[in-house]
Amino acid sequence: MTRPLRYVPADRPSRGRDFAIFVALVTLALGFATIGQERQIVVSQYLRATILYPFLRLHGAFEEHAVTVKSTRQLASQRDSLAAELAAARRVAADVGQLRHLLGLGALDPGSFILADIVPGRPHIGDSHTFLVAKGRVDGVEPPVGVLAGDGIVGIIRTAGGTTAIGHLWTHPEFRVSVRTESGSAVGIVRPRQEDDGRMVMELEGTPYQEDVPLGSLLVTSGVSSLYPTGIPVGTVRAVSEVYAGWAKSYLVEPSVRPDEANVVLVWRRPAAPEVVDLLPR
Amino acid sequence: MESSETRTVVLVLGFTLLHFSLRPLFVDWPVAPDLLTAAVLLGGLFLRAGSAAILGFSLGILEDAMALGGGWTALLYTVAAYMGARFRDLIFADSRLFVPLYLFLGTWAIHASIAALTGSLDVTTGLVIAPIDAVLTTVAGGLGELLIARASR
Repeated sequence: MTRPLRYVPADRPSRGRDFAIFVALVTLALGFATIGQERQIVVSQYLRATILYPFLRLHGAFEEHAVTVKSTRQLASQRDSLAAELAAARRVAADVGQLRHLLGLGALDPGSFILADIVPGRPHIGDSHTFLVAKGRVDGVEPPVGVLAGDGIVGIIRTAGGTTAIGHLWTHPEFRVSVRTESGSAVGIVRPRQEDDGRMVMELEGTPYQEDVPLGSLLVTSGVSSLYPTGIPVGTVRAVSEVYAGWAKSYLVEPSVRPDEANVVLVWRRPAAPEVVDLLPR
Repeated sequence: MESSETRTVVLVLGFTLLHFSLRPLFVDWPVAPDLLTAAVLLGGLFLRAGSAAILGFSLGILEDAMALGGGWTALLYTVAAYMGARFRDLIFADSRLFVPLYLFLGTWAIHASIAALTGSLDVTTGLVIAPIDAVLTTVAGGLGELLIARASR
């Protein structure tokens, strides 16, 4: 049997003092509740910076831990998916190698990628459509060349110095990329477009009128002009945007990568010499 | 300091630390034990009325600062703690059911009052969420008191 907590009886003189304290505190609490939000925030900020600071730090640590755990799980999941994709890609590469050998073509060089950080400060501030990466010509960056993140196209490097390079995000008004559907049934040019609410999306232009691009189709880079590697996701077709008097259609495209999601990017290092293949029948 | 006072201080301090430490966890749950309210109510039960009012005001101000609650928590906690201390002798203080009933009704009343003062009181809040919160708070408060009592034997 546990010993119960003992109540503290109050004698008559202390009751009067207790009541006075109570009245004073109620007055103070009422005053605090009615001083207005701005003044309350001043008091709150003081308390949060002093007594509550350890708890807020603790909450921050919890939050950081939760984010780390989540990121680790996401990374593990992405790594597993990538491993599966890599295995499939190796089989395709082997088949392609055999076919090229049979056709008497040289080995295919898809180029490689340079891992680069996007320098903080863009594009979270202002409405800038340009970005800076902390890699330049010394590292093998040869503009103009495409920049991508894990999920798709981010933009294009326009100029490069020794150790840095400047590029345009896909939101830049002059950005264009040649695309095709994954099946190759339709091709076109994607450019940025600002929606009525100010949100940036993409628009697929130049698809023939009689060529329907199914909604939900993934658009990938076609590789034309050697600015981007082939087959990199650009966006997903969301809706028909405009129909040009029976001769062309344009589509709204949801981008695969939002500029503010990209912190680490891959700059394409294209193969040493562009390959020229004569596909015309002899 | 007497043993009973020490236990009260440990109980109130423990609940307060747990409340502010576990806040991110509890905020995500639709219903959760309110350890700070339990600390205020139990403090009110075992402290003198003046000390209980100071405790209620202090914890209420901290809660308002943490949750940006508009200042009403300080008022409600001050009143709740003082009333708990003042009226404990008038009801069945010796009954085993007294503390659980006191915690349940006190938490329900405080939560419903906060909802009313902040303009978010509706049937669901007043008759479903607040009573469930009160039950959880009663269980947590009872367990806390039991643990402290056993530890101090």
